[in-house]
Amino acid sequence: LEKDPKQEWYESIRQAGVVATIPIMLGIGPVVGLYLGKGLDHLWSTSPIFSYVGLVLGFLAAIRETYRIIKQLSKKK
Amino acid sequence: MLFESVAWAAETAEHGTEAAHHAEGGAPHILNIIAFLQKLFPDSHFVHFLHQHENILFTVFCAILISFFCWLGARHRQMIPRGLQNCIEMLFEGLDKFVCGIIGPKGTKYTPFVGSVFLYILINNLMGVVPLMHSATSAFTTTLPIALAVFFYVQLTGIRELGLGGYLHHLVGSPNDLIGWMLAPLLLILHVIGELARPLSLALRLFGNISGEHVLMAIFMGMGVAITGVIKVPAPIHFPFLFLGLLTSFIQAFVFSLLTTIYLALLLSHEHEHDEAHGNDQHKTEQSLGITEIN
Repeated sequence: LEKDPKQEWYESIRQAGVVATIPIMLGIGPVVGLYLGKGLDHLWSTSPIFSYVGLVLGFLAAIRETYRIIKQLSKKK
Repeated sequence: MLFESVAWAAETAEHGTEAAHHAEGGAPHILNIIAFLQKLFPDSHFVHFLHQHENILFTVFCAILISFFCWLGARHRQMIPRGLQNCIEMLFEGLDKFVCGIIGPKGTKYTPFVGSVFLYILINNLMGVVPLMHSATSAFTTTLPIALAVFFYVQLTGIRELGLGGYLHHLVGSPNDLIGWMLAPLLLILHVIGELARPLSLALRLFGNISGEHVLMAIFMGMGVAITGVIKVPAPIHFPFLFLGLLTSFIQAFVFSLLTTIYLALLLSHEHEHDEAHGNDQHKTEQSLGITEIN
């Protein structure tokens, strides 16, 4: 069966959206985690423990968020 | 000779062009009507005030433009739409299909918000390719508030749809068993970081793409003016980038609204799962009580 060209175009734009999301989300997650960790370090004078923990958790959160977005998009309604 | 021409062209591009100039120590940008007025009346306080608030003015103009066309289209509503009403209905139907395609039949409720975000960003982006206009989405101070509006809307929708308890349960990763509850603190942190990263990533993506596109166009406009000075024939070498600008404008507005819809869908699918789980529990209870419907 041939795909509807309009539908195909819509699908490719949708995929472009997902592809555009991944690098930015993977970059922003660790930054947010790092800054939250820095804030906690500043609060409790524990530098740099929470900064490193925040960085790692930020990266994990970014991977989780990206996975959830891709999973949601690949669902068939 | 060639070297002299190139050097002269570069000098002209740097000092002589009005099309692209360096903002106060910043990247080159395309001349808009307010910047043009400031060049005409450099001593006017009013024009200086306009120049300082140009992003706000252009966003207000964009909002007025959208409202005006929607008002015009909805002024004489007919059962069989014609003209502008037809165009607007087609657009809204398309947006509704797009939202419901991701969220499901319940998505219609969220079409006004997602549609408004899409139209507002699209028109703002497109204003950047219109001569003497300016795209406010090329400023982080415009994209961040839109992203924050999306962030708060999604959180409030979560609280409204799931209830405060359900929303908190969702935040800790919807645990159902002991292992789930043990992992809850970690998942809460991951979830909070993920939620905070969303508006920042939305805002930065839009700002980066649109401002990058404008800097590119401004550089090529400047080069075009410089080359025109050398070959004495107009050289609009930025022209192909206008099409790129049209495409980027649409894609960025689409991606922004797509992600807004996905964020809503992530919450609502949770609600759906919650409803299903609740429905199953109820079904099991009914079965245990022997009140299952007999077909």
